[in-house]
Amino acid sequence: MAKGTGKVNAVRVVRTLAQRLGTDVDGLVPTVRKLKREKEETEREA
Amino acid sequence: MDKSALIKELQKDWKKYWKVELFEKEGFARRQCEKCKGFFWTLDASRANCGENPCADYSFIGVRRKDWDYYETWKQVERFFIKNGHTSVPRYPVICRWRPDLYFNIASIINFQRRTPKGITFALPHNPLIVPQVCLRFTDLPNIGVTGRHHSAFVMLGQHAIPEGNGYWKDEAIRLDWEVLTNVLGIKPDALTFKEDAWAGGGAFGYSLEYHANGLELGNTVFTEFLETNGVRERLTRPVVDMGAGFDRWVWYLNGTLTSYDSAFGPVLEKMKKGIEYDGDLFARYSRISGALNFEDVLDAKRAKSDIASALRVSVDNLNKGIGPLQAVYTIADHAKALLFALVDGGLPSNVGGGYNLRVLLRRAHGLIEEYGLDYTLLDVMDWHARSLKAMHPELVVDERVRDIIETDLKKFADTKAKVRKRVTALVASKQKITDETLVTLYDSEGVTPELIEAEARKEGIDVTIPADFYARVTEKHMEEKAAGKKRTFSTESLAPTKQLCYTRTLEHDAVVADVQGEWIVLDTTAFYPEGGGQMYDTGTIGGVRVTDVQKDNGIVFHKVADAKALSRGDRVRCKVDEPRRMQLTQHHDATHIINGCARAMFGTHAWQHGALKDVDHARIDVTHYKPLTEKELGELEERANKIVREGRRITKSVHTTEDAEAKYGFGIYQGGVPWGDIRIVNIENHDIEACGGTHSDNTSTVGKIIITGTERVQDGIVRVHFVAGRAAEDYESKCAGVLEELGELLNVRSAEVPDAIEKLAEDLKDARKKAEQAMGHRAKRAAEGMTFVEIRDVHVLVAHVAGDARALQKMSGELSREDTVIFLIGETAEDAPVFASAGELAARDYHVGRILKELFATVGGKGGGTPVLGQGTIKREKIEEAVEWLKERVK
Repeated sequence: MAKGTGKVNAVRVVRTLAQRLGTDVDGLVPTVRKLKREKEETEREA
Repeated sequence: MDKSALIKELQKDWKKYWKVELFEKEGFARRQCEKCKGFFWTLDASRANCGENPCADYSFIGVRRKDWDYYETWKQVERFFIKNGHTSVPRYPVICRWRPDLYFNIASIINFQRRTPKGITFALPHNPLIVPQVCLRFTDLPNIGVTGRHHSAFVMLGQHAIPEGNGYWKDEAIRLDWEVLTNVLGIKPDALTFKEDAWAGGGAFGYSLEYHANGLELGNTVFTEFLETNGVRERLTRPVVDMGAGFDRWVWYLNGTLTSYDSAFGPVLEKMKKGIEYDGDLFARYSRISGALNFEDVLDAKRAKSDIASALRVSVDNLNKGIGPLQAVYTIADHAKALLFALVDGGLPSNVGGGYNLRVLLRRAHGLIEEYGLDYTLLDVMDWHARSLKAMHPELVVDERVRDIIETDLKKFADTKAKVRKRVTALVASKQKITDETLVTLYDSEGVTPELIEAEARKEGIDVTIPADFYARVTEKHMEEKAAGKKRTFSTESLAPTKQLCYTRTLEHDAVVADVQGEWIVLDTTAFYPEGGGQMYDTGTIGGVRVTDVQKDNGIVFHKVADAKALSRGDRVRCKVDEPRRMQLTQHHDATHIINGCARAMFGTHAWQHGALKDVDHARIDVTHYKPLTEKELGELEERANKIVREGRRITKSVHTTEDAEAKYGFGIYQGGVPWGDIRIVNIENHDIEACGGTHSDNTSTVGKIIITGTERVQDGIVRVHFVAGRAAEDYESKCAGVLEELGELLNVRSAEVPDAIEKLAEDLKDARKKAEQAMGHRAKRAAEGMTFVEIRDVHVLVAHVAGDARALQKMSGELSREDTVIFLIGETAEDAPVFASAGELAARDYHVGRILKELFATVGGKGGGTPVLGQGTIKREKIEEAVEWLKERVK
């Protein structure tokens, strides 16, 4: 685990990211994966 | 209950019900009104009418009887009643937390009514008592500002007594009312009439004497003596004197002003009237006949106005110009006062429940301020009210919280209006008739005031009539509680209530199977907590058989078991509750109360628990609040909650009667709802006190830790806070660390860099979308260059099959479209064939593309439709050629 991301910070970081992306802790990884895929596809389309 | 039938029935024995000692002693005569035919009592031998408007005119206007303002009038009246043995009780909140069937306090007697399984009961904290109860009512909205006498917020002077101890019954009640009216207010005895009437509500009912002077109703003393349950009438064991007098009317009567608003809002109106132009003489003449107005009865307000105009010998336009600004000012003043009381007492404007009614007031008042170009704001008027009422209601303050609530809601209103203008323009353009239903639907679903629709429609030369009872219609729907969800019911007859051990430390015990109903088992004694109050049920085993659900019905606890056949009635069984699960549910329940207390401390009186769920792996609480919680607020809420946990505050539980619990702890105990009967209080030392039937520990430290996992806005005015506590919080921490690591791997960065990497990803995606859009535009332009239109009767028509999805078609159409073009494009994707159609303004006169597409879909299959100028849908890929040919034929 990287410096400065202890357990408490991980909770805060995850909450902030989940809120921003409109999901919860369980949906975070799939959502980011989907964003990454969409970005790659759109770049190809452009 | 039919009131007139009740009066008729009781009048068969009128001496018994309405003849009081005072009437005999003073020599009152009983007469029948020549106009309404109602019976009344009077000292004036020549009186032919009952004295109630419209049978009698408002003859008090223009006569100033006392030099008392609002507060002085109250002090005089209060002094009289205290001298006569009454306790003066401070007003109760206008938000009716103690009655689940009411959002607002609508009458002084509501303070003392409690719903029990047997019906309504009355409990007076003092006997006798008076209370200056501020009430909110919304069914009279169309009349407010117009009739001179209707208010949405008014003080009901309540005089209540029970005929026992120091209390009294009808002879003394009417003697006291007579004395206060004649000796304190100085009303001439022969100007007063007492009309025989009756009142019913909530099952309890009684006969009453309603009193009037110079055309104005001043009060109604009800002798609530009976209770009707399922058609069976019985005498209440504790009948109650329920005198409710419109205190604002008393002040009006004494001051003789043109309207009751002038006497009730005095100093506020002085400020508000500055800068408006109105015809004072016309209004003076109008006010004498406005007493007869009541838009509940006169559905066509326009016609009523026209009748008034002709009675006053002016045109409707001149009447509007002459008195309209003044009526607007009265309306704004009234609404601002109601909002002030509601917000200070914890109400919130929203689109649900009672909040809806408050939003109606807010938008209506603000709309009028804009319409008449007034140079003050709604908040200014609320602030003036707070200052003017300070002596009587020092609790009224327009603080930062109140300002923020109003400003936030006005911003929502501005956003809605912008959206709605487009909607109204489209409605007008489509030539659809704007019906009453359209007005109600637009108001209900989007908060669009009918005045706004009327104004927009007028610009388009269309006349829209707002039904006079419009606001009554939309607010009535929101006044009453929603029907409770259907709960599972069991057969409980012949079963004794289960002895419950869930509030003790017992988790393992012996019991006897009292009944078996399908998969459900009843025990004589149980430690299993049945689902309730948002807390999930316990699990465990009964006689070694797994318990999968526990519910309670009518005092009997039902346990759903995995194998009911293994158990029989009369079996003696060993019961074991799953301890870790119970512990977790208890931690979540403690945490719910902790967070709720913190939310109230942070946000204010309007923050109220709207609902909650305490499950094993997660929990949530819904709190009434007017805007979404920020990350900073979430952090603060979490910190405050954990501080309470760390401080190890005591959690005590005790059982009280309703009266005792309310007197000791106030109405804040009803956060989780209003229980029937005795109340179990869960008290977190100096933090949160609630009526609650859930399981709780003895100290906040047992919660361990609270983590707020997120928040969302579940509906307007309600925010949901998701959280975990105890063991679930520990698990959540580990999960978060794992997720962060996984994200780091996915994005190829260190955990600490994940937020920045996600932000960059989002930015890159945005850029890529922009570039893709531009590329599509270029392709569409190139494709469009090669297309040729066919000219048919001055319209240029294009039907084409092109490559691309729906977005590409839209883009292409945008490149090609002109005033005189009609374009049908059929695209192609891997799944289907999108269809897009557009018509320019001139071409739309000959071609309704939405309808043409409907015909196309009906012919070749597919779905979609549209307006005269825009249409879209999809068909199957194999139907493309057929569709192109059909369209070419159709447009010829």
